[in-house]
Amino acid sequence: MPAIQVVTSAIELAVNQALDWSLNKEQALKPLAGKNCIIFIQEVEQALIFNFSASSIYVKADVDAQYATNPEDETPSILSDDECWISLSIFAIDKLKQNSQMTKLIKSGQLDFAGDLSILQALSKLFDKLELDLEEILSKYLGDVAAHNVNQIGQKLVSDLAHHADLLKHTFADAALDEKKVAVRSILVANYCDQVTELKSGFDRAEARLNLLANKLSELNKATANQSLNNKSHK
Amino acid sequence: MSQGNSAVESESKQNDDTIDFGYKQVKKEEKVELVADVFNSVAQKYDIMNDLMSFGIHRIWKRFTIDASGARKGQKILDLAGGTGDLASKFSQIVGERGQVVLADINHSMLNVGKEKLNNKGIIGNINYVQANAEALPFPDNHFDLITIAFGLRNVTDKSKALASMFRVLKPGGRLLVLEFSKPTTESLSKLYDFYSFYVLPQMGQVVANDSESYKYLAESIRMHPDQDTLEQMMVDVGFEQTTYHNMTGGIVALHRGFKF
Repeated sequence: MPAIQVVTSAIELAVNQALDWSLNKEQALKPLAGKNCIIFIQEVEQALIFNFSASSIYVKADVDAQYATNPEDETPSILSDDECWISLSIFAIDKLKQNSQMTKLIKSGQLDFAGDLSILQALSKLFDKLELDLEEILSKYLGDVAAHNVNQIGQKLVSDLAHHADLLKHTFADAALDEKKVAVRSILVANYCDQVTELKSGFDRAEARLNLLANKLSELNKATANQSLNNKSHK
Repeated sequence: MSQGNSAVESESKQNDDTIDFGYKQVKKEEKVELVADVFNSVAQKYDIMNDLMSFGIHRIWKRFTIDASGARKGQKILDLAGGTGDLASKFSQIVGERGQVVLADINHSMLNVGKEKLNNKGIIGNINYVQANAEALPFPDNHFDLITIAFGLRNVTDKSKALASMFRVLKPGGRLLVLEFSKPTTESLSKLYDFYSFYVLPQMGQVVANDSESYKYLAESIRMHPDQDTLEQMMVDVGFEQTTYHNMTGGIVALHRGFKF
């Protein structure tokens, strides 16, 4: 089974579902209707063709590799007036949302571009301005009250998770930046260990000496006791 | 007997005024009506049966066909034997307002189902519906940029005549895409596929569409259809150039592509 068609099918389903859920679908798609945006993903060397209409997005794979290189370098005529070509890293896709950063991205080489710039700007706005109301979406399937409760619980869960993540982040940051400075240095720890070892051996020596003295005292007591017994018997 | 040999045999039998209809031999003029009966019977349940029979994979096969079509804005596209309009709906979006898509089918019931489906989806304006026989297309010479025929060629009585007719109406530089069931590339898959299509499919057809005979015909017509190499040669014989084919799902389906220069 052609793998890339499975991927394009999944992408198409996801973006159109997100559009259907969005409160401003028509408004977001209007500037792109009838236009094509070809996105070349550098890591996999595969171009995906996004074909926009007033109501949906159709995603095609470029199986003939027509858009594998910058069209302006190869054959300028390959792009028509209502098309644009973008080459970018898969890790830079989320940056497409930052409309104000487009020129910076192009200049820094993170994004290669050919064709109609207004399509790229409209695409950026589409990603950025998509309004998804989770409660509204859930209410279609669960009803208003249940959707509201699920949404509240979800928001609390997300908020708690974010709080704990933030706390953990601060703990690690404190440990790394502040506590490290006042922490005992390794040479002091080594000295302390040496001193403890020395003390332990001194204690062992003293204990052995005490044992020796105790034995001698015991022998002396026995000898004294024997002496007194002998004296009594002679009397 | 290989499918290729079956096709050659069926071609020779055409000289005797008979033609295959599944495993049966019927008179040439009868086949059109028999095929029409099959599709009149299945038209209403066609889409749901396609999804069930192929486990939804037919959508991926069709998507690959569109990706391989090189369709662009402003082009004129003929979706032959277009049935319920799966390809035509996508092409309509791709060619845009300046382009034109013609959804043609010999069967009036299938065409009606397709027209209703596309109208309900709001796909109007750049799409026309024509009831046409693939062997004698009612269009001028050098008219279309692209012609597709998906799961339709095996039902055509005279395949070579149909391919020649498509060649005539295609513009120089245009391409033909034939998406059709073909011959599995491995013996083990072939056995599994035989079991599925001869035992499971008719049962499925009986349960869902209350029609096992039409789905028995489907399995038989697939076996009688030319294999990959034979069909490619048939395309070359009528004038297509740079012909290639691409097997999908182990050769169960193949996409043939040819250009007119």
